[in-house]
Amino acid sequence: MSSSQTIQLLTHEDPPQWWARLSGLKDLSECRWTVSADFTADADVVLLSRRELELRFGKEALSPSKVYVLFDENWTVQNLRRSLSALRGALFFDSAGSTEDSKRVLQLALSRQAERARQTELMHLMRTQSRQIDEVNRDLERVMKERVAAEAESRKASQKNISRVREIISFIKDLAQLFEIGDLLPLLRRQIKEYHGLEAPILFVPRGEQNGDIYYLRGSESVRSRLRGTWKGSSRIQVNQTEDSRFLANSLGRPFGKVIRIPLITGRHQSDADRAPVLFFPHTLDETQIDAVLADLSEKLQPVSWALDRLILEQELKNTSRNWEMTFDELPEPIAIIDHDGTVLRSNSHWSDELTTALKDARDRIRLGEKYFVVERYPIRVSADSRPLSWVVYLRDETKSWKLKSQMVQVEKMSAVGQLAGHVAHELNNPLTGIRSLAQVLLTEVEDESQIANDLNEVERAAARCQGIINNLLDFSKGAIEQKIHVMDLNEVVRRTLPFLKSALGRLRTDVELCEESLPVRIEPHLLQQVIFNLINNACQAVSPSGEIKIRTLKRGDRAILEVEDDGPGVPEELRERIFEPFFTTKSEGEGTGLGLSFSREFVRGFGGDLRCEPKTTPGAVFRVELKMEPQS
Amino acid sequence: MKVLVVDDEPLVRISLRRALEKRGHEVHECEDGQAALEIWPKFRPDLVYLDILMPRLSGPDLLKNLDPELRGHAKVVLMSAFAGEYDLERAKSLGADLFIAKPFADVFAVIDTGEGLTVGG
Repeated sequence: MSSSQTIQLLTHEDPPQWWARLSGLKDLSECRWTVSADFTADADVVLLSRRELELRFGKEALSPSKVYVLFDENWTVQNLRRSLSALRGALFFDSAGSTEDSKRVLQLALSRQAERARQTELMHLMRTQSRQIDEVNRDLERVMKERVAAEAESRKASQKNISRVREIISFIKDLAQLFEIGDLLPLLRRQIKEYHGLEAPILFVPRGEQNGDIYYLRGSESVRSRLRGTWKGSSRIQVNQTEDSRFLANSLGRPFGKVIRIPLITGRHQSDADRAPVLFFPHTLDETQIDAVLADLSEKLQPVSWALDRLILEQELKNTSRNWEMTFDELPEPIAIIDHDGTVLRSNSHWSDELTTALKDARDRIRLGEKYFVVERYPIRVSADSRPLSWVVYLRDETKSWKLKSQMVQVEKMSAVGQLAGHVAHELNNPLTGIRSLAQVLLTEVEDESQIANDLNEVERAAARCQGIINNLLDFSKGAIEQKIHVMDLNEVVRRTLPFLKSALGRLRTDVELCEESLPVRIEPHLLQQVIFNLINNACQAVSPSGEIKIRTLKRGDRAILEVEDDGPGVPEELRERIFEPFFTTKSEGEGTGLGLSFSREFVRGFGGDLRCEPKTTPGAVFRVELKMEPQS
Repeated sequence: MKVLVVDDEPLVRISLRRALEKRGHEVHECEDGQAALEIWPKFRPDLVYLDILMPRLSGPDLLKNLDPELRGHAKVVLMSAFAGEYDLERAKSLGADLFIAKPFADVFAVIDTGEGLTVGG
């Protein structure tokens, strides 16, 4: 508490009058006294009379920070109430009362004022401090705000990073799923959508030393065009080079402005970066934008390079394997890769399941239908001394050469037989000539109609028959070498052939019914004789040991027909065509070559006719030779 | 006339001889060309039936080796069972006058033909 408290006596009257009345109070220790009529004067306690209050009340503002003390000589309850309501909180004393009381009131006022001043000071202090706190608070708040903002900023940045990484990952995923080089372009275009001023990319892929493919987008379609001519590459990114714009303009036939050129280099191109594929971006960006875009794109370029490299390699691989497949298919004969279980791993278009099955039981030869194959196996080994993993099986089609060989053997056999027959015929002809001539001579020396004459006639006729047979045999065997195609009566050919079959026909019932008319056909007689011989011989074998064979010739329209019919076991319907396949035989090993019928049909077809096995209602088989008849001369 | 029959087949020789003798000709038989060559100067034939294929000396070889003066006016009929290799033209180039393929259909026709040669020439 301040020791220099001031008490103001507020009065507009003459102060000394008051001092007298208040003299007893004046020695109130440790305070100063002032007298003034000014309400606003600086004082801690204001002392005023009741009348003074009533005079001034409502006219002057009262300072709330001051303690007011009222005094009067004769307080009534009424005026006390009125005074206190005017000046709330004021103290009062009775000036007519004892000085001690007054002093006590003043003392109280002073101490109240001191208290109030202390409070005020405290309040002030509190206010100041609170202001300071506010300030600190505000600072704190600012710092907090800044922190939060920075935090948000960095969170946003890392969010952006994450989404960027995600984007790159999904981009790489998209790249990995590409199948065609051209599909790279739409994908790249989506990636650069955000950069205004960057146009759809154009891709150039060098092929070989002189060529290249240029890929570009036409609408959403990716288009490829093949370029020829030399190409100078570069391993660095280049911006706005006129030679690049010119290259694109020349290649695509439209003008190009500024171009960014980015070589897509992978490990494969390290030594030869000039041959790396190149990505072109036509653009309208300024230099700072270009730097930003390039920085942005840079992390995507490596995946693009790798993906493109993969696509190029795949394409090359595809081309190579397609070339191989085409080569395989071009081979006219079946070829396959077969593992040790006999499973076909790969095969060309001439391979069939039937071949796979046939190969299982075959060693070095396969017959399938009319085809005859020689099996060639080549082992596939990982190393020279390992067991083969699989085999390349090549089926050499030997049908033609086999047929030719068999035919040649047949012809050779025939000509050998012919030569032999020639010799035999000559050897026989000499004595036969003698026998016949001698019989003729002797006939002139005996009596006509005598027993000897009759016998000699028999000898002469037998010799004549022998000569006929020998001549026939000579014609037949000679034919393979000398006979040419000519017109001959089919009946005559049959007649000439029958003598050779006498032993084959043996005891079989034979019914020969030759057409009464002549049946001129254009044939090689010895070949047709072979056919007839074959057919009758087959029939004999079919009915053996006993049965009936019918041989007949007839005319049907402009066709001459020969039928050989037997009553043997016959030919099942499903075999009626197969029996004409080369090497097909129902006879047991060594009995037949399986070539007789196939050759026979070939010969007959060679003459413009046909040979078939006809259906038959009664048991047995009928073979019919049908030939076109020549006009009667 | 004198006829020489040269053939290695006895039955041919016999039948020709019998048929020729019936016509009144003098016949001599030889079993090959060599024998014929030896007998020729003594026998001096007017007509010769000469087989082609024979052991020792064949018909054509006999004609080749025969002195033309010794042959004189003798006519030669070549005979063969290998008809395909010989014909009249070939026979003439070998020095023969006629070719007859064996086997004969009629032995007397063969004689007639030979007689015709000597009469005409």
